[in-house]
Amino acid sequence: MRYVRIAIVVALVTSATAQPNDAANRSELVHLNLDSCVSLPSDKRSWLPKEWQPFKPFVKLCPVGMSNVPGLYVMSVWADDFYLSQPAGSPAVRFPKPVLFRPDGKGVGEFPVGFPRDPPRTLDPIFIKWSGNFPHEIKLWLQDPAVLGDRYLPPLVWNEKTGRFSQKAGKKGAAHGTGSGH
Amino acid sequence: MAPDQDTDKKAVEALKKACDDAYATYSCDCSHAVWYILKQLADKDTQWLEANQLMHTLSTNSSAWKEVSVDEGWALAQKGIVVVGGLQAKGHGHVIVIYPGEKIDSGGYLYTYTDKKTNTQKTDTLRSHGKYPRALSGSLGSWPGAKSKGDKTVWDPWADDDKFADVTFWTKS
Repeated sequence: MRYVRIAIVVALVTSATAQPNDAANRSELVHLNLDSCVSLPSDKRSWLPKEWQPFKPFVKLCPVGMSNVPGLYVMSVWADDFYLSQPAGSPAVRFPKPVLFRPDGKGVGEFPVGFPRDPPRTLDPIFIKWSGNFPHEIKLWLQDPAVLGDRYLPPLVWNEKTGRFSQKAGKKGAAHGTGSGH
Repeated sequence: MAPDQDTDKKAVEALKKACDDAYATYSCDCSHAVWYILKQLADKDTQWLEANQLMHTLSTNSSAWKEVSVDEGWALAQKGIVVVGGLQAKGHGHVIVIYPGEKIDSGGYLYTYTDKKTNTQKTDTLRSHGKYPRALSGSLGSWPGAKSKGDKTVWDPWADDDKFADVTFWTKS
């Protein structure tokens, strides 16, 4: 009975102290909520690299974090929004890869494919291995209707030394998918 | 017409016919479609191999097969020579044959996807990623770019510029 009481107290203390900002080493999987993505705010326009200027109206910023204060941002060109502004049948465009920013505007990595869509593919980044309000790994789930099929791309892993996310090397030409060619 | 041109024309017609016949029989099966063409035009004793095995065999049997670029492969197909392309993948790889004819725009067909924001199915037309050689490609899957009797390109089964860079093309030495 005494051990049960202690366990309940530990649970209560744990839940009482688990504030949103106190998320050290939490194992939650966090998907990006597309509804939270906004057009690039004026105070963050300086983050926009020069080569992104032609796509400025179609650039969105998505906050990532375990609290109301983002620990990371994803900035990307929303391809579908861009194409809606183009004539039907116009050719595909090579968009710059999505960039990851710290709240202070420091670029800390990029996604290997467009987000949220890189037509015909759709990317679902999953942020894991949280330390505080910052994820240390990003799983990349790619929905690919073409022959390689849906698959995880090599994840982006936080490197404390370089201060950047880098993609774990994948085996060249060996997609880990559910493709249906054969 | 010069004798060489006449020979090329006959070879091109034979390659087209083999591709068309392969598609008629194996539109849902890339490796059998390629096997059929190899039997008709390269070696009648060709053994059927699944796509990953076939790509492995082509890349390791350097005495019988040599790698060519996509443009070299296209030029060979214009002479009626069989050029096999493909990419290994975990599970199932995919193989194709270059179909003779002028290069055409990639994309241009409808496909469906799930809109993450609304969680609804949407239809989109895949935009052109440039002109490529035509392809003979069969597939069990629903991706329209992988079903081609010369009406899609060698790029379309993968529909991905980065992945297409890994696709290799082979012809008999």
